[in-house]
Amino acid sequence: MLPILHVDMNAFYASCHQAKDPSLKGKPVMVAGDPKKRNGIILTASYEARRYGVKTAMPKWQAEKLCPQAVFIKPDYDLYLRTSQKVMSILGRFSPQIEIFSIDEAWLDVTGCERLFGDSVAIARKIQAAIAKELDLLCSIGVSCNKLLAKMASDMKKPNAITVLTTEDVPKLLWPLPVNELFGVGRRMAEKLKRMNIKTIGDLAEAPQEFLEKAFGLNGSYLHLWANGIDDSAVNPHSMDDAKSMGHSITLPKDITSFDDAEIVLLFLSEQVGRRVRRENYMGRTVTVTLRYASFDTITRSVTIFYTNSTEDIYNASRKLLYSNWDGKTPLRLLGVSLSNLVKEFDQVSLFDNEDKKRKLNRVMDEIKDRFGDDAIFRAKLLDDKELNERKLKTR
Amino acid sequence: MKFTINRNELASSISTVEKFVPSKTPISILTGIKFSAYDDFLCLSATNLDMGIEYEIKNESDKLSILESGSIVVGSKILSEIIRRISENMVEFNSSENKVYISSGQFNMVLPCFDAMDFPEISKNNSLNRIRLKQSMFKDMIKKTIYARADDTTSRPQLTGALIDYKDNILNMVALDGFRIAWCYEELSETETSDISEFKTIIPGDTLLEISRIFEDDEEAYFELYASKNSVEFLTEKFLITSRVLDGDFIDYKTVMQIKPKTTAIVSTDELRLAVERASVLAREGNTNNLVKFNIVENSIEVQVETELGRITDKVLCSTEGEEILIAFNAGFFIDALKTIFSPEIKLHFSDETGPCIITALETDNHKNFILPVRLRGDNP
Repeated sequence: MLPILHVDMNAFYASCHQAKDPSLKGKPVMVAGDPKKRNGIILTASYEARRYGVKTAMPKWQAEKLCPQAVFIKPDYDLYLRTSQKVMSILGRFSPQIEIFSIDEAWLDVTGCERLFGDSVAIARKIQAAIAKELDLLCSIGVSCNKLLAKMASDMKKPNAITVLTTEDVPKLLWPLPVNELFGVGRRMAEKLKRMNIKTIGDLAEAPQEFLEKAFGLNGSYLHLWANGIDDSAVNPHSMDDAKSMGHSITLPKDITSFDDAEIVLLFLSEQVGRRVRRENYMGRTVTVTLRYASFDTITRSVTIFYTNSTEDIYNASRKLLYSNWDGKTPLRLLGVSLSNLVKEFDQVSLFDNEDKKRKLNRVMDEIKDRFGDDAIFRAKLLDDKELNERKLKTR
Repeated sequence: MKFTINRNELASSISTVEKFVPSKTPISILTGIKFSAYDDFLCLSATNLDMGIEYEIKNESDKLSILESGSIVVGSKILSEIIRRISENMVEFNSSENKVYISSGQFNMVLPCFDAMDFPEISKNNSLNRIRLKQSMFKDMIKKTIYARADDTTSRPQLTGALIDYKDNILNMVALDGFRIAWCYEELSETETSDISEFKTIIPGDTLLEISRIFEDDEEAYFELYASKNSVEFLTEKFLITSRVLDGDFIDYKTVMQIKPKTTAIVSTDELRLAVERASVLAREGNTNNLVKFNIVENSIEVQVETELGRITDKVLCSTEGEEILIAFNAGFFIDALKTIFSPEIKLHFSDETGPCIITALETDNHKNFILPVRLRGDNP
């Protein structure tokens, strides 16, 4: 019995745009940071674009060189989020046991669903068909006995494929793969393993468990199990219920070298984080700021405050972190803000009535944005001088 | 500069003074302790610019003998670690140029030193507004209130300190962070005196915390408090501490804390604290903000927690008066407050579901803790 399915949407961001705008179909489409500005990276490339050798996370200029006729599109996260919710609700028709792993990936446990829909492979076919018909999107599905192998399987054939991977297949199909392809092995870990002469997943499977534990701690023992295709974790429908943190970061269109500019970006990010946290009815108490310099050196700094989900509080804390960790000169290429230690939203009574006002203000701004779009209302600080003047002219 | 000093005397003075040495500072000289030797006394000083200390040791035969006056600034960290480990009775300091030679028995050490001229003055306000108080009493007041101050991410910096409010022979100390208030007051005893009829000042919480660590429990130990617009001084027989004060308004705590209780409960401090602590174990692990509910019915307080991890119901018997009430609090706020109360029984006053709980000791009302609740919503019964 192979009851675990891993559904992985193919070229998700680009496909969302192609589904929404049929004129993009069959064309090389790339989703990248603001297409008008420099140094964006490719977030997703459609399969048409991938044929030209374009890869995710490639700098935009390089992708342009490889495929000059490509259509570049600015990311539309609202579209992806809405589409993702539709995908997940289709999956929900086949089994209540769904673990959403990211915006475009999920596991399903279809144990007990055979009577209704047939065996796992038949269910996978039905899922693919439903997603294609209703949303005009493609996905790859891995079918296996556990989450790890299902995930490894969905990655083996793309796009629009169903791959069955059993424990018996592990030596033949998994072990020859380079070690960085194993779930849970990041770039750094892969480098470290390489230095230990562990290059393939097979090498890892043969490495003694104690040896890996010594080198990587608890993760080491997981590595050993995973390399052998062993994973007993359950599909957990609630894994996303308790998000540990919510954050946003932005690679800046132009390196930032002044506090004034950095503050505007921080406020923009704080607003995005705050809105998301409020939408999910959470509050958090740890604000973290990520600073990536033009040199690509990256630091993160955190501060703990009283539980909040208001843009102002997140902004004030992140601004403090910025001022105490940056000189205001060293060029910054990326800024990030996140809120963690999340708990369900609660309504602590305060001595100061402006706490209440702040909360209401945030809520009202969210509602206006939800109804009329993100540009309908925003904080005046977010207007750079040029835009501010344009608006002034318009209103005159 | 040259002197010999008793090892214990030196160690204890350094351990007091080094509390004022900033742990992180861009001004390297502040990482040092200044030693100034005069004809008849030695003075150790340190400052982080927000607060500073001058500690005096008198020239006495077996404690200290000054052979040559002068002053130097020595990095505090190495010095303090070394002196703690010295086993001989006496230590000698001898400075020449920009070095200090420290020796004791067979032990010899040379350290570089900073120019004492560059060390900031421990500023004195020369105020004549003086109050003489018991150290133990003041220390006790700090311990009862300081927990409620705001942390330094507050948008109201004055709330990171505590208000000292003196009027009509009564000294009030108040700290609050917007969700809770701790207030205590003491009437001056006969041995305590004041030159002024009233004054108010907000002292930074960090200063007060250091003072509560340094001040003595001895009933006979006094200090003098000198207050001016920008700074305060605490003068004892051995040392002088100066601190900046915080600007800003403090809420009218006396009015805010006057409520008409709808519900009153009299309960054992320890029993309630333990029940809330047990509840908090579950509440703080779960995805709620350490939320604990009190259901106060006739002669009992039911303590309830419900999170995704499990559920607790507990009951503390007590005597009650007035209406029943269901109200929720951050358990941490409650535990903090209950830990500062040493009376075996307390009184809890509640006004309504969204109003404060005021906690006082049963016998006295000179220490009040005020805690605001968390509003309960329909979806969170």
